[in-house]
Amino acid sequence: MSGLAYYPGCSLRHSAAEFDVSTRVVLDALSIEYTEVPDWTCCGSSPAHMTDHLLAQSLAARNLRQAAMVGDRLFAPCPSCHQREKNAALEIHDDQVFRAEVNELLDVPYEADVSVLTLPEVLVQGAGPDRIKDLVKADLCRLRVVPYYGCLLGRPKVFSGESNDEQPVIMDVLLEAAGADVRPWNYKTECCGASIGIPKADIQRRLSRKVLEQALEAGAEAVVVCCPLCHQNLDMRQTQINVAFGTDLSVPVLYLTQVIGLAMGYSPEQMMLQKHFVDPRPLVARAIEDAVAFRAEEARVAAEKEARRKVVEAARAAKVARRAAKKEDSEAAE
Amino acid sequence: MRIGVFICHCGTNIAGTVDSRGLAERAAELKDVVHSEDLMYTCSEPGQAAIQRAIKELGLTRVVVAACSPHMHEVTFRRCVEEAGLNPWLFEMANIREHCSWIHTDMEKATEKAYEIVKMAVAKVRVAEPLFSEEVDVNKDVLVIGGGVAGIQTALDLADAGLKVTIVERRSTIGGVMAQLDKTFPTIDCSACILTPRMVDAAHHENIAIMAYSEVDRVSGYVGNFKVDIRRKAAMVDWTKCIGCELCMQKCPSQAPDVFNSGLAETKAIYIPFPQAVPKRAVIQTEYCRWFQQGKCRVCERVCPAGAIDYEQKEEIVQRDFGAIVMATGLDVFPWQEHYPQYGGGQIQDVISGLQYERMLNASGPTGGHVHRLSNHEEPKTVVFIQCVGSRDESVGRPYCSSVCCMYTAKQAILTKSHCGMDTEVYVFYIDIRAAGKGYEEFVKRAQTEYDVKYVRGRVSKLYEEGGKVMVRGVDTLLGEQVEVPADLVVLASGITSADGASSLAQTLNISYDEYGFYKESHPKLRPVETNTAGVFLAGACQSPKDIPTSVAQASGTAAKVLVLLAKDKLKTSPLIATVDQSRCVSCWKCLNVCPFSAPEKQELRDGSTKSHVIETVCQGCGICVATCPVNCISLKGFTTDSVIDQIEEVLLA
Amino acid sequence: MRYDAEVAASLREKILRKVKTDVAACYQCGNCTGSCPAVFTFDYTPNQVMRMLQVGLVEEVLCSRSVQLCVQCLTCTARCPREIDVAGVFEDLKTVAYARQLDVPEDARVFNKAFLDNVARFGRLSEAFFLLRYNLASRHLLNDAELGLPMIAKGKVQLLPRKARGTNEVARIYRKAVERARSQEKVS
Repeated sequence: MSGLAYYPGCSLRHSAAEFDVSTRVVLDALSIEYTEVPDWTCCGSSPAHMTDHLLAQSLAARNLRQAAMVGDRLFAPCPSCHQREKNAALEIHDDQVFRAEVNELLDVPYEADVSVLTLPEVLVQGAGPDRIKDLVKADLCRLRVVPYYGCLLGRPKVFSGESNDEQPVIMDVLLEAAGADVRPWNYKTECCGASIGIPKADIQRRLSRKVLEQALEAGAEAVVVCCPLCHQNLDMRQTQINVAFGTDLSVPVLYLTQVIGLAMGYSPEQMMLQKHFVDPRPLVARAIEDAVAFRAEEARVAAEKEARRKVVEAARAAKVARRAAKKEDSEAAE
Repeated sequence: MRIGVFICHCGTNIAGTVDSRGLAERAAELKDVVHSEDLMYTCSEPGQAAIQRAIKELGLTRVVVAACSPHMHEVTFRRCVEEAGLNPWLFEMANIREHCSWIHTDMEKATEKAYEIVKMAVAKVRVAEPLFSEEVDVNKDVLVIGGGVAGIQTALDLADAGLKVTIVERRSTIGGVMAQLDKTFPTIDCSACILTPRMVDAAHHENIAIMAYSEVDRVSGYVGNFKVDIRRKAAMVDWTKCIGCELCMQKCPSQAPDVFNSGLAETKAIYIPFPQAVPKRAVIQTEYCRWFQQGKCRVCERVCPAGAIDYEQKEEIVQRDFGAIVMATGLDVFPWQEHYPQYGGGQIQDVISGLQYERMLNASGPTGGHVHRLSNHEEPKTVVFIQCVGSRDESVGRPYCSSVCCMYTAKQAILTKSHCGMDTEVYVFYIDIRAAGKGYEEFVKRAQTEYDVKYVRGRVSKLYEEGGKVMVRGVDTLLGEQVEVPADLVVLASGITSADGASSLAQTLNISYDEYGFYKESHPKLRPVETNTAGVFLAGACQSPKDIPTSVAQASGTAAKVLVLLAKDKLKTSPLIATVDQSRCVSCWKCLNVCPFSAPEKQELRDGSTKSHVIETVCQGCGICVATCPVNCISLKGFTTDSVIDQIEEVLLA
Repeated sequence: MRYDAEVAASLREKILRKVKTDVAACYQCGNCTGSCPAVFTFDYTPNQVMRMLQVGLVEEVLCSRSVQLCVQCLTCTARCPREIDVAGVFEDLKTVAYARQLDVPEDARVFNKAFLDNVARFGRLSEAFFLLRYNLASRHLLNDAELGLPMIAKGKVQLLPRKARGTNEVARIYRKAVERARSQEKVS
């Protein structure tokens, strides 16, 4: 992919550093070339577009302008940044009058036409599930996960290109390519609470608790996310949930790129699993160990089945031969 | 040449924007116009009388009426001038209402435009020739496509009136969706009990022939003289021998999806849909049959006491002639699983559709009438009904109301209480209650009061599983609160869509259909059972979603219209047909290839050449051949090329 | 209560500028309310807000807490059977309330302001400073206090923020946008 500009966004720098690191590692492993957007600034996220439309689009446009210096495509792992950048890009490209309004606010005008991608889109378009499958070294078949898309990864349909916004599939496809045991569930896009976590913590805790419990209901042991805010609400705030409701949840929350990285053979530390509040390392270690035993059992069962089949075949062949011999005998007798 | 021009006021419809009086004065100046007057309402009795008086007293040879659209009153005025002794095709109508006064506001400009329209009509009528209808023989047999309650009703009415009717039904039995229902609202009559006598009547009626397990492949011809190819599908069972004992079904080892039970159960590869099927004959679904797929089994052949199994049976095309065709192809249920992922998309076992629930409630259904959860077979303690699934919902492409769901949900809610006990909690989530029929509102009230069904106003936004229950997350808009109900069973009142394959059948019949596949009636208010294709009629839900009483009433109405058509022995054809100037025809046969009615034929002339000739009684006057002919030798009577050029010149060379 | 036709007419023109669909299409099915994760904090449910707009109770809506607390999860828009962009309506209402400088006592407002002030100061969000500022401004001094040390220990917090090079431009964008929004509201 030529001219791919990477927009990390404010969260990925510090509070979600593991997302940034694991993303870079995976992109490098897949030979997807990218350049960080030079001198990028905050896109404004929710506070900007809830305050003023022009403000939000202009903050986003500034980053598009910066990105245009190194490429014609921008991708942002954080779905909120992606939403803002893509929304701004589409409106500005469609409406030249609006572009002029935005450019009045910028120091240097934005004249290019940068297209905007999500992280999963970059992985699919830049490498594809087959390439990921080829690079898998660690067996994650016993790591039972559910993909949690949150509000903004699959929606709105016109942005994401998903055929339906209640059951997006892009994360499922990538996780299956990585070899994880992806459980189906009906809570893929139910809100975790998003930015209401700070002003109205009790609501957010209730919503995030629901997500975690639905994950367990679906038979998963971990939730895979692709959003730093979802991660924060589900992982960092899991103790707060337990305190508020008297529950005993201990559900690790992994980033999509961490799972892919682990599948590719990178260590949990390289994927920065130690930064999580709910430590996923025991689960991951156990899953990999279980996988060995699981595969061995699979092989044994298959071998048994094959042996049995051979016996039945042989018996059938013998029966046919006996019948033929009998026939010959009776014909000879005549 | 004595042309009379009549300009209508139509109250203020025309006169409000066009100066009708002034127009009449100007028209009087036109060449060959010997009489010009303005009238308040030309179509009214005094108006028509004025025209007839002028024809008789002034010896008019051509008439122009400038008024509304020909769609409205062309027929009226043609009859009017004919009664006064003038050939009806020497009349022309100028549309100065829909084409002028109704779409403009500037009086001066509109009047000028109306004047040009009148001039064009005068130019056209000046070169018009008298035309005469032909008469064709009419075949009095009727084809009814679809054997549901509407098709059966129409067939019985027509057969009782003495006509010979053929019902073609694509399933192996007639009865349609009504046969799948348990009880009907608002009387809670058993559906099969009221339908099966009708089905048997149809089967035994001397004037009705039922072709079940058959489909219409091709239709050609025209009103009064249709030629239809009917494909008798291969059931792999000789229906002249099969006695419907169902032994083959019992012994068959292969499962197949049970369409009659709406997917709630499985049936066998060889099956009879239900015990009261008419005709009660077995059919082998070859895609599930072991003999056809793997070359093994043939158990049915061995056990059949009548020796009716015939694996070599081939499908057969039979050709029949009919005078009229009635479309009664019915409906299908909205495939909600593909469109409502927020309701589980079909993955949550205890979420079923209204029709599936109907089969569950039915004593001869797959559960023997016992209501139980699909997940653990226990009786549900809380049942939730959700209305408007696939109806009134633009986001799934169905903005219309399916008309029956509010009523059938109320019925199913009442039946749930009586099947599972009054202490069962039953909720209905609704947006509005549509209970417009006779006794319908009272029925809903019974559900709410006598049966204590809890009606909650609000849509359900999500279904998800938790702790073995199906959580129903919705809203009570009247209280202004989000609500959640833990349910054991959820029934979706899935809406009505057009029958599968409706649109391609419509193309076979050359009739119009809308974006949902419902067939288009000729006029939504005044001609609800006819189509714009002469000789093809509509009955029942194939036209639009409707309940049983409405379908039956409409079906009888359709029968009446068919009787009107076939009451005469001969039909008058329209004289507005294409004619070929054979001296210029180059025999390229493009006209033959483009005609949708197969009207042009190759005619050998006495000089040995073969030229195109349009069969007068088949041509419908659509004009496609006229436009297609590369040497312009085909002309449409009543719309000759000369008349068109004259009109154009009248306006452009003024 | 009188239905004010004039107010309802100016709704489309002046307030719902971005939203492409007409609130008149809403038939009050309540699916938006049923889908809303934040509804338990609202004073008016989403369908009530739509109804209030239909009858012209615009001032009440602009001062409502509902409008401030919507998290823009877009579920309402995704599920509306009349394909109304409900979240878009809420977004437009938020921006108008802001431009008119309506005083709505909601922590969400405080949150947004603290966030944007921080971004205008450092170019990129300095999470630690921002949270501190928010806690002070909202007077929830100990909000998330127990997370502070673990976050620092895990290296997830940047204690000493550095300004991005483009900070001044960002600050200018913020200032100009706010001025523009407020002056437009005064005119209309």
